[in-house]
Amino acid sequence: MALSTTFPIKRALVRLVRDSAPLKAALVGGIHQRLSPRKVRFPYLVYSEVSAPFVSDWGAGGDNGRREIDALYDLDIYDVDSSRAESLLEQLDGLLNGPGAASALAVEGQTVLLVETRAKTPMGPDRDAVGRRIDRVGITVHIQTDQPIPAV
Amino acid sequence: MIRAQDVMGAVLDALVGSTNRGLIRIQTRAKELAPVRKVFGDRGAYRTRFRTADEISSDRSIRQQLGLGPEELYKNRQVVSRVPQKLNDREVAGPGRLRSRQAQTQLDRRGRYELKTGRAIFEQFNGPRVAGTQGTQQLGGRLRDEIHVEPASVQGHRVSGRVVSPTPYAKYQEFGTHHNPAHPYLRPAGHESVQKIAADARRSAADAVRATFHVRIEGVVTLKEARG
Repeated sequence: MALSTTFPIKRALVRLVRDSAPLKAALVGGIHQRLSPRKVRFPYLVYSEVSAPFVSDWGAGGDNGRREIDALYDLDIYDVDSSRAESLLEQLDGLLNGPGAASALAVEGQTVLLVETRAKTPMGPDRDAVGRRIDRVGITVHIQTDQPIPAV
Repeated sequence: MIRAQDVMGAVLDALVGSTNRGLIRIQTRAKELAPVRKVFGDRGAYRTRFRTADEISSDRSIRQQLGLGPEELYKNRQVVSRVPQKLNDREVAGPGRLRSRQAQTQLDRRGRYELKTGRAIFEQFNGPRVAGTQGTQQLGGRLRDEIHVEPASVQGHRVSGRVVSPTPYAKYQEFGTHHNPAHPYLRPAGHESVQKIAADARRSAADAVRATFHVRIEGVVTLKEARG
């Protein structure tokens, strides 16, 4: 089996959010990567990879070697209602910071070692094209995985 | 007799040195990652090529998973090299003029506009801005050039230092907005360096104690990332 990159981690993270029924129902505008389309409805979630894949190899292929990936993702909720945004963020935080977060995050071909949320995104409210106030709240998620290095 | 206070003093001194090295490592990496205004263009340097049959077939399964259509041979191009942005060759000599004549001829349309209007010209200082002094005028690259280190200092039993990006629009680049995607540069730099900094701190502290008191110590160095 070939070594995988951060792509399955990203996919598992999005799947975890989508599988949470209350969160999915509340995110009317959907889940978007890096940037949302222009006329999307509020609230919506935007995720983006912060850190480039940071890879450490422990041992070699065929000798129980493992490859560790250490990735950071930003998850931001945009909403016109600040209290609703805060409550969605709390749900998201609970999903990714709870005791079962590492087991719930099923990354294809990799074993999840750690899932934790870090500091909140320090961004204030913004204005859209018609002058409406948009609140943005977000968290950074730290995910650590490892996978066996195949023998050459 | 060895006093615990002396050991702590030696350890903290060593940690200040290693923290400063770590901060410079983060600063260097952040400057590499920081987005810079693109003002140079040269048709010869920007090259694209067709993707090979092997490359297309190796990406087929991932494209299927993503729900993308198949790629076609002799149709799909990819960028091979981008125009170098001459980060050290952007000094402005006067109105509408760069110091390097060669660099001036390689400005693209946007670069010529930026130089003419002075919109992207800023004053560069070696290190943090000092009131009353004059820096050099640069065309673009303000975000990158203003990243600097505030050296480590001891506060009680804690050593702390900061890598600062004081540019007003730095946070919009780092975290993005609802109009523009994020281009993180500071957090990836810290994240990539943190393990090496911790290893360096451990080694420095142990070496300092061994050299001063001829004893070996064992302990834990905890690194805490802070942002504000």
